[in-house]
Amino acid sequence: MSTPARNIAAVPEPAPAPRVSDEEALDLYYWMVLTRATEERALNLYRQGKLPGSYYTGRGQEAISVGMATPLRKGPDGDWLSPWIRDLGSYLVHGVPVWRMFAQFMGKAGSTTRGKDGNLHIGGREWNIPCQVSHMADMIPLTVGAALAYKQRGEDRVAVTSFGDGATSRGDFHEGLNIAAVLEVPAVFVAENNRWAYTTPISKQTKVTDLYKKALGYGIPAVEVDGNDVLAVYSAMVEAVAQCRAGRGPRFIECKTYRMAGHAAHDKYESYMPMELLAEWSDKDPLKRLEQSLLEERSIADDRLERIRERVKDEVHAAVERADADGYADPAEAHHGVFAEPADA
Amino acid sequence: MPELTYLEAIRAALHDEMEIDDRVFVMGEDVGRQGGAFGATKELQQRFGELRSIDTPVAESGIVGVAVGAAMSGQRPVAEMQFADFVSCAFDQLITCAAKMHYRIGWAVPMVVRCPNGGGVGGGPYHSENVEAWFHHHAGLKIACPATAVDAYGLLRSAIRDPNPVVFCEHKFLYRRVKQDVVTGPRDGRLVPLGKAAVVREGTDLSIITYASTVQLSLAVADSLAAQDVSVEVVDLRTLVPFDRETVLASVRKTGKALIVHEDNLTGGFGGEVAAVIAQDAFEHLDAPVRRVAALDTPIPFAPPLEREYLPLESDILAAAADLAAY
Repeated sequence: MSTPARNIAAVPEPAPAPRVSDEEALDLYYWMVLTRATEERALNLYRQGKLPGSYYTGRGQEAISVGMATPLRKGPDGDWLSPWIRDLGSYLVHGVPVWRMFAQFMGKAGSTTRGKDGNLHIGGREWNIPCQVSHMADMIPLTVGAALAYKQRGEDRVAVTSFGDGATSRGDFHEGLNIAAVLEVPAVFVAENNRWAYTTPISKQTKVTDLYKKALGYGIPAVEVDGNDVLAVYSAMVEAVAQCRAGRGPRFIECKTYRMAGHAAHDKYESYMPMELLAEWSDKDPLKRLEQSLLEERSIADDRLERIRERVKDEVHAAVERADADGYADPAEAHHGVFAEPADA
Repeated sequence: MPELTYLEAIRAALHDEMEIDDRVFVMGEDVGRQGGAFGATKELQQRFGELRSIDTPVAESGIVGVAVGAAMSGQRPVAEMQFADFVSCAFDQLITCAAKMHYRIGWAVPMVVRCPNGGGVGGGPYHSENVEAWFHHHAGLKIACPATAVDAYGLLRSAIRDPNPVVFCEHKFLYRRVKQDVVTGPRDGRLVPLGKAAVVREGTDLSIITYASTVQLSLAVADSLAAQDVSVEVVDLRTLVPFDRETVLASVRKTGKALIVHEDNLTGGFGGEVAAVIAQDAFEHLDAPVRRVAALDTPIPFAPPLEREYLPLESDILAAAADLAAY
């Protein structure tokens, strides 16, 4: 059963959750399984010492990364999507091939940055995904700028970005939201309240632990949803995107969730995270919940789900092989690309 | 051909680019209805509408970040910092997002951040800063520092057309004090390319390498020294990034003496980079040590006598040049 978006003051009536067909629900399932399998495989590679740097996962947040990207238009002339570090699923749904993810983690030539940046700093014009930066909240003003461009040209495109609770403490969160509201641009802000920013719990991050209230303070209609329920996230996103396309942006969605691992693979989170809380949220695992809903509420046969899981296994296997076989960019590449040429713009 | 002040030339450049390219728009604090604190965007909103001349909240980081996103989405934003000093609030967006985006994913960020730069106007520590050296250290940003109305017009149009983020340091002391015939017009206006220094006065005994407000002062010094039979060449860099090394080196190889002058403070200023390039690539041609004249390594004080003490004056440049000529 999908949890409807809880309505907040700035929205007069809760939007009725759109009916999600069985095929659509199975599609969401596929992307969530693919997201988790990709991350699990990458984490194993990291532990085997095959990935440089560290590795960041979004385990437990797949419902958000997949749910928020699914309603968007893909391609260079589609919607702008700037997901944060926990949203590997968003990159996949919005078009980045799985093997290029692995190439990115490995720093190979086939990575979207040709080895110049790592982890989920992935992007490219072909998907209309800007390349996120490490600095929290920086992508919020950029997303407002993309939305402004669409508004200036009279296009019904939408610009979307996501971020964690820690980012809401940065100035660019506040400046970006305020400008978006004043300029009335078609932007959707997706806050993933996973209650941790590295080792800092939300209680030490902010006194206003319901993040949607911050958006209300800027006059942006905001809802909060169960971030571990993909149908709820998807429905809220469908509604927010429709409002933006109709010229009633911006919109804000807070997804309540929980970070099911450390900040990154090197982080010994057991030392600071209460284990009972982890256990409690483990029972709310978004993938498990969707599976249950598909089997019990929609009476979909388990072998259909099994076929999806098998397909994902094959895809991830092939992706890792391809990335493994890929070479590194020529070291000369390090010299190139600081400036664009006129033909690039 | 109209005679325009430096400020009017900037306004004309914005107008002419907006006239021929729908993607170009201006944004910033008070730029729309008011036309900016100095009037550089005056009447652009009346001519092009509120979506192309945008009054924003007081949020420099947000303004520059929005410009980056719009530039990546097919527009050509020109963001105004009300005073160059305030770009410190937007430093992160310029360095983190604007400067590195193309290097990382090959996605161009064609935008301009206009920075009313410099002292001499009694602005004090927060309205007089020269900010160019904050940015030349980081790869990925172009930096223009025009000294004349013709260059202000031509460089700004080139900056708007450039596919990269450009920090445009327009010197506000020059806004109303410099006047020149400028070839304007959406189609016929004369552009000045980024990365091409100008030898604004030819000479044989000594090269003064400078930019922005100190170009006029250096020309005056050249006049004074001509009376003493010292022939001074003055090179106006026009842009710091790209840096036209060849013009600088050719001048120094000819004269054998180099005096570098800028209004920005000395330590870590762009002059240090110019000196290093001369030392490395024109060493055999030097007949004297490379000298620099710049502002004090202090914040910019407010009271006129203190500010004069801070700034490099014509007399400081003259003394250094005469000294160097006699070496």
